[in-house]
Amino acid sequence: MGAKEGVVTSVEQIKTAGSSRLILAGDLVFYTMRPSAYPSGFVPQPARDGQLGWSAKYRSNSPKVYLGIHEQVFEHRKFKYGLALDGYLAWGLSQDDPGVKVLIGGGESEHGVTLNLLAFSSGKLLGLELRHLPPKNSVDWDESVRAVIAATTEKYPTAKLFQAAPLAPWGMGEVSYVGNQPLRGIAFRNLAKRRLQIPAIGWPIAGLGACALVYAGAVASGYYQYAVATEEYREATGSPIIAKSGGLDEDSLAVLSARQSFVEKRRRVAELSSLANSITARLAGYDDLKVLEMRFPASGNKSPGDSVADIFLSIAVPSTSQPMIDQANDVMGLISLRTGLSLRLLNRAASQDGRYRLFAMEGPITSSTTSGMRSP
Amino acid sequence: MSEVTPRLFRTVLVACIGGGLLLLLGAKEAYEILDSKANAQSSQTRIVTEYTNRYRALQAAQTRFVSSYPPESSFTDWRSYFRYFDFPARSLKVDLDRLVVSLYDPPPTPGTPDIGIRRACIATDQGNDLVIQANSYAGLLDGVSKLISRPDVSVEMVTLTGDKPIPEARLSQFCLIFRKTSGEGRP
Repeated sequence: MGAKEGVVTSVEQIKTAGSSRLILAGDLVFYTMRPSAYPSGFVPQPARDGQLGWSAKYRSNSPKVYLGIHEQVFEHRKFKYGLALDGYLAWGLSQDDPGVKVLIGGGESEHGVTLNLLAFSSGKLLGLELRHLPPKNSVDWDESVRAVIAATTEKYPTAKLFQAAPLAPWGMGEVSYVGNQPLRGIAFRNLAKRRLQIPAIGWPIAGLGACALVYAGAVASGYYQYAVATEEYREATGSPIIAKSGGLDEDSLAVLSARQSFVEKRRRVAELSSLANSITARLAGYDDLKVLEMRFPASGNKSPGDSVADIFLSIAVPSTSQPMIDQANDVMGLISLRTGLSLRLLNRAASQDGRYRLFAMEGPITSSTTSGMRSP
Repeated sequence: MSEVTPRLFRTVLVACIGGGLLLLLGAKEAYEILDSKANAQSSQTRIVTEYTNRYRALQAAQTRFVSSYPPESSFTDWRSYFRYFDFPARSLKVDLDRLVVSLYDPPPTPGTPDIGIRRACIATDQGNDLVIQANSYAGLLDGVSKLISRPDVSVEMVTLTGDKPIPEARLSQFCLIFRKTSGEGRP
């Protein structure tokens, strides 16, 4: 085997191979047309189309060959490898006449003979089979070969049979030997750095698991937030205030608010009564001046702009020779001095009653008045 | 691993991508739903908390309201209204036989809730004024001041007359403010 290309049918032959380009045949390549059956120990390779044409790759009913290379081949990476199967397929698919042709390839090794049977018609792969025969030197070799041929002609009655290298010709009349012809033009490649194999199916499942984790996390976090919010709500509504009113009661709150403004309303009348005390006390020293009447309109809802006076005073003083209006001014000046009240005479409120003059006055009570009262 | 064919792998891959997308979308959806529920709950909580705080803030006033105004149940007959003030104890003289008591419900004000009070207005004879006398002006002023300083008393005008032999005060629209019994605690 000093040629450029050598055919190997077992791992042992690879170890002793003398050429740089090796054709894998026999037991080193497993193939099937049904994707489900795949034995262990073989590294999956890209599937081959069993029909020519660009659309064959995408049509689900077009025949395909699923194949794998024995995993131990991958331990010998210094060679370029081609597949005998590729050559058989190319040969068969190029036969575009409608007659059925069966190509018998395979490989011989010390353990026995492996046959690849590929049936074609009109450039389309009809079927393929793998047969294991005993070693060539065994007693039942001829019988085995005849059985294979008989089974094939039974399955494909009109088929023409061809036999290809690396099998040696059997020399049987019904089988034509095409020799090396199918093996020409095989592409040789380095084996992929990594085993060309289907990505681990664990990854998409792990991705799905990660998504499930995200989902669980989102639900858990959302539920946690919801639970916290619910708990807070429960605490908030559990307060005695809410329990007492049996819920939110804006009306009762409005009543409470109205009560608040009611109880906080400034009670002017209370101040005025203490004012009366103090006015009386401050004017008590003047025997000539009599307070006939003090009136405190204590309307609670007086607004600042109202001109209603805070105090009315009716005063009686002995008549003097002064004009009535002048005496009134004197009296008001005196009262102002003593009490801080700033009074004015009411319209037509001065009158003469015997020896007395009567004055009616009114005035506001300001904060300065009250503060002046408190610190004489 | 070798049992996994490309077709199975593709099926699994598509299923996993599809399932993963569904899970992610579902996660987003579920989170949004729960989050919005949580937010809705939180805003409810805020409303309740705010209500509670406002209610608490008004409690002092409510306590003052209850303590300031006697309940309607304190008054069993018309005399009980002026007995309530106990005029003699204040050295104030009131002619009980001439007193007239009129009960008023405060007129409803639009936009203002009924705060649950009534007024019993006390006047001498059929007039508007309650006439109160005392032995001295000092006593009269003192007594009237204390009387009208009470939170449960409202008065429109106080008139003190200084030229009568007996010191006299006239209190216009002298009314006792009391709680309707239902206004004891909550309205």
